[in-house]
Amino acid sequence: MLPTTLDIEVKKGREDNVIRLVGKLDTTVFAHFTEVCTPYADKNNIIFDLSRLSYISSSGIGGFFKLMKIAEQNGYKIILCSLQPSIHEVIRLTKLQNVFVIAPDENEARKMLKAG
Amino acid sequence: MGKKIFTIDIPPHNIFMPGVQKISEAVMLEAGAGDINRDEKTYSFVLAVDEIVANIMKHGVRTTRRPFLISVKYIIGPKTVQAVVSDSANPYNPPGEYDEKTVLKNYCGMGLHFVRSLMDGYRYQYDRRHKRNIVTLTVNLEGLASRAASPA
Repeated sequence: MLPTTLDIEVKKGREDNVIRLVGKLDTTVFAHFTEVCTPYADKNNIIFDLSRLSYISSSGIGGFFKLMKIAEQNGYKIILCSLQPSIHEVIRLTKLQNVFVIAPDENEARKMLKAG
Repeated sequence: MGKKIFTIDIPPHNIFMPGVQKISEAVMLEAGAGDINRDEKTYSFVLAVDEIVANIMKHGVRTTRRPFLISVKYIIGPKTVQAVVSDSANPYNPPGEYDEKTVLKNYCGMGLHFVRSLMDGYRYQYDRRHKRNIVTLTVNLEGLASRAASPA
């Protein structure tokens, strides 16, 4: 069954911040998500660890899109990694795989950031 | 197998969204699909209903200055599951011509893009007689792994 909440865990680093999302990201928690994550998007690269995100709606995708724009305006990047198969499939079916940078795991995400 | 029909009515408030998600998943389980963590059809159906209801809550409340309810009628048939989502808010502006490239570039109309991409059927109509917006979502059950595996 679906979880009812979203937990946001932030691990700050020198070259990037890793933000792990646990639970679900939909219209009910979208405002909280963007409020918490926006301050990180204009200060450093962000790797979103989605290994424990079990559900995302278009509101959640919109949140990533907004953060990506903020990061780009400040010369940073946002990478999504460790997506669960169902979320990967939704992104594929909605043709968003070319909108976001997606990595298989955190290490690969870091390599992609270093490669520029 | 005959049709099974379930109907829920909710006020347009976010606190009811988790309940709608759980009921949509339960309907797919009743139809023979797997749970949301292992069946992409269930995930897509829950998400599509979620998008439509969230859209009504966002736009219906903004444009309608009177109380109204959102009704979701689930219909489990032999080959399909449908969700008929209706409300008595003011009629919505008919969507402009659907242009996928513009949606992906500007991030506008993403909820509807999700629904069109994930569902086997999508239809919007305005019932002038009863003054209701009606969205019908359809997912085909053929090819469900759990159905194929069940004994005859």
